[in-house]
Amino acid sequence: MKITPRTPNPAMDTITLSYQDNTVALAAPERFWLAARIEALPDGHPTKRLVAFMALYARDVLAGDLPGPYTDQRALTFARLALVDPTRYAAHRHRTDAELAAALQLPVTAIPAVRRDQQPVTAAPAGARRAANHTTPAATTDARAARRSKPRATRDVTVSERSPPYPSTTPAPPPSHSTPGSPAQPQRTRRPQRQPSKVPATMALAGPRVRAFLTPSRPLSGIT
Amino acid sequence: MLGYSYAEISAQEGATLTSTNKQIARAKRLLRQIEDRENAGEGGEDHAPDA
Repeated sequence: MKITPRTPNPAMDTITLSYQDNTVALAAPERFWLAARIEALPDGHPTKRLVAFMALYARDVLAGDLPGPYTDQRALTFARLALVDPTRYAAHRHRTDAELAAALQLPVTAIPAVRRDQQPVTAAPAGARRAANHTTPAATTDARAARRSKPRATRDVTVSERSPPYPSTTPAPPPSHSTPGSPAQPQRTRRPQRQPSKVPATMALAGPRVRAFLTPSRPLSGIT
Repeated sequence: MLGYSYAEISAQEGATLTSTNKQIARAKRLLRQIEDRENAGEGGEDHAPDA
């Protein structure tokens, strides 16, 4: 029998993955292998999910889709970013670490890092709006999450009842169905029609473009 | 065959391949943002280099 020497096959490159000081998987370009103690975990287990996505990162480094070199820390960050849906995180962010871990199906030990990862992620999409509203990132995110969780009928009531944070140029609508001191009615209210009104003295000093900027067409959200 | 193919992660997650690909795309994008921010911080200056 003759054995012919073969050139090294790049497809056989592998990366060993470690998590919490234990070897948890071996990744190759086409397949990955889990350590026995990870393999024994049920599908959907927080640690198994995390390791599987770490392996995905390793595959992309091996394939050249992501810049190397591979590090476990970067793979872990990648796995957390992949597994945490920012919207879901925003809805549960004020819960305890254990509750948040259960909601996101991640290990509790990963939660402090998740909070760190998601800080810029949740703030970024609201950047432009925040600059206009002068609110904090947390307030903006919370307001969004609160609005999403409410049915549409109550959503309009909440917005229309909010007092504007600027001197309003339109007169306040007359009270329609609610009496002073009574709780807000959770039903759709009719928006008051815009009427021409006097421009306050401070606004009169500003030009038309500045006035348009200072007078939004609808109440700003995220301001309490 | 021993081990898992990467497509099997979707099955393990109970998700479709499309949604897993979206997760991967999101992670790549955010990881790049984090690394860019870290690199900017290491340089001590947070502005684009001169052309």
